[in-house]
Amino acid sequence: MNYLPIEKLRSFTGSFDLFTGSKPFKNELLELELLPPLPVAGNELVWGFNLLCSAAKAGYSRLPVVRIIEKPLIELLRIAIILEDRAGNFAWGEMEKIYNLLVKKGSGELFNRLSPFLLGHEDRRLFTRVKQFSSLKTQLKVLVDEKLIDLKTALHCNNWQAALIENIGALLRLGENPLSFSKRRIILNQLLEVSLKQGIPEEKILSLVRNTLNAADPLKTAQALRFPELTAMEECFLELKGKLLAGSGIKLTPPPFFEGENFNISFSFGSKEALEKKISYMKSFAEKTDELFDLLY
Amino acid sequence: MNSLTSYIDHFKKIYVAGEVRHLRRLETALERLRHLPVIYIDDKSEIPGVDMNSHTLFISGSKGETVGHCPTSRGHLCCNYITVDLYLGCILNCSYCIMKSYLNFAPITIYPNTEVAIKQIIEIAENNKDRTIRVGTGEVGDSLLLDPIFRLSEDFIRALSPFANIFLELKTKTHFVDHLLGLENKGNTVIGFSLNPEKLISRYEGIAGTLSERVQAARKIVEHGYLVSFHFDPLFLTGDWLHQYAQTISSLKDIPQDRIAWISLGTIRYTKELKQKMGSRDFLLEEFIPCRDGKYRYLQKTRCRMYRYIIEQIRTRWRSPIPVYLCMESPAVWKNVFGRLPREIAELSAIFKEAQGCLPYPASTSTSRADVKRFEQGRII
Repeated sequence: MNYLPIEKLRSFTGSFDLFTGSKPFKNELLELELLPPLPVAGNELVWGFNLLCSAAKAGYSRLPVVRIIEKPLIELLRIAIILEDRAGNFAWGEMEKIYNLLVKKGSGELFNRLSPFLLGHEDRRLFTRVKQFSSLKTQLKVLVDEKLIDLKTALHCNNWQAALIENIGALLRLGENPLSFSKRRIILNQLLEVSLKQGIPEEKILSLVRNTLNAADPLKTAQALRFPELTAMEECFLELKGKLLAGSGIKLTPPPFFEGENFNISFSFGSKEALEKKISYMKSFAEKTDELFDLLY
Repeated sequence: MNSLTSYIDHFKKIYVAGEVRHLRRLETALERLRHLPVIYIDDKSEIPGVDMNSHTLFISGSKGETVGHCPTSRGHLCCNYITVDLYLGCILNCSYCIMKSYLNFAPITIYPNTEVAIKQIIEIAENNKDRTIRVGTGEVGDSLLLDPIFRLSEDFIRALSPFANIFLELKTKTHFVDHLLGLENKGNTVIGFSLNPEKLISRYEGIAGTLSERVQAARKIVEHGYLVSFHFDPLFLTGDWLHQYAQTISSLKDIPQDRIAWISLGTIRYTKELKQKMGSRDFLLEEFIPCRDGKYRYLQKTRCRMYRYIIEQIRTRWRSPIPVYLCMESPAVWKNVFGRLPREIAELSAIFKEAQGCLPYPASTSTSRADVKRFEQGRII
């Protein structure tokens, strides 16, 4: 095992200082002097910047190292990523740094080879997605890395002014009952589509997002804005149902999305009289169903 | 004007798989493409990754069946159309093209061996003498885009023209019909033109022919004794769709009604996978809901309104009944639009009758269990 002075190792920090989410090194292990050897290639520390800092603070003067000889950059990156041991938990910003390093050294096209180690599974689109992330405004990159919005939504918002993005980010961080990532994604996408369809100017988008997020049911509110005709049909159905069957104990269900030709009714009864009463309700209901069928065609 | 040369210029390389390299017709086709490098290979797996794109032409013998049924769609009525794979893939780049979601081989593939498919179609026709057999080559590629070069349609026209119950349809978004004009026996060959208003063609149909090119080609082909069909599919709901489609139908006024074999209608529909590939197209901002087959369509009420209007325009233009049918629509929509199901409509019953014989229906449709669940639970996303 080779040892190098900490000061020397500090001068080796350069290209490979890529990770912002490294796990902190455990103090107990430092106290027991149980330190893994740090990989060094030439004058570059390949991995262990966190450990280097912690060891320096704990008073170490030298650290064990392993010299890696004649390995291409992609191999060194693979080693660093494996040592990080965070497959599936790397931030987009970290992956972008790795991608940029490869591009700088003329090997950008090899990036996808790292996907199993970065994601935990192979993904041939990772190269494209990291490039997409790279094209985002800084404010959007922050939101994507904070998992406040997804990459696809962020790409759609990339033309927005930085201030609007920051304000939307602040709104997303605020909520008292934070929405799940998936709900946030759906809501933002729907609002984005509403703004595109209606040509809503940027200065009004913030209030659209704010009002929706502050609503009692943000998902339902966004859906109503995105699908106004379907929502109107659902409201009309509820109104008709109330008007025609309220108090009857008869359950009426439309076909999903009013797609189809049959409504369903169901009820229960416990006596001949109860059944006769239901039948009487049904007879009167049957005479007033025109508006109901208007919802289908 | 979209010339054949401009389409040919799209291609950069040709790969020919061993089993078809000695076909005489291939020599003639390659002579027409002599500016392109030709590489002979044994199997498509030898095509390098760098050429796995639509700039590559791959000419090969088929490894499986090329004659099949049009894939059925769960909960929707099937028109019993028989498909032949001749040209697979397309370079027109229509933004809504469903092939983008299911063709997993990027080079444009050509199967120049036509004998087996023709034999199979004849067998079906002979087993179904009391039925109309509709066969088309435009399911997985444009029937005529590359046909002036490879001339594969001629084999089908010549061989199938003696059969009174076979309607061979060559479906296209181009105007490349000149090479077919001189054929002697046309039989019931139908040249099918997919139509949309000019404004929508330029917006959504990539480098396909213009509306006027297609309409002129339709006129020309009718003058030369062919039947034509028109496919208003996909129909788009845009701000001025009423006017746009009325104008498009009006542009067909010179086409005599007795030369129109059929007209089909279908509103824009897409799978979840296709939506990913379509990107942010403005037509996607309309209200689409998932249907029983997992495809997203306009609300049923909206679709019915669109169909009723288009049919009204067609009926106004041509007084006698031309067979008009809906593509991949539900019984509910059929009943609302026509008042009946296709088998109960005189001019459609022959078309919609199922052909008996050697072709199995596809074992399953592309509808996944998740699609069905999404529909039944009323979840939009």
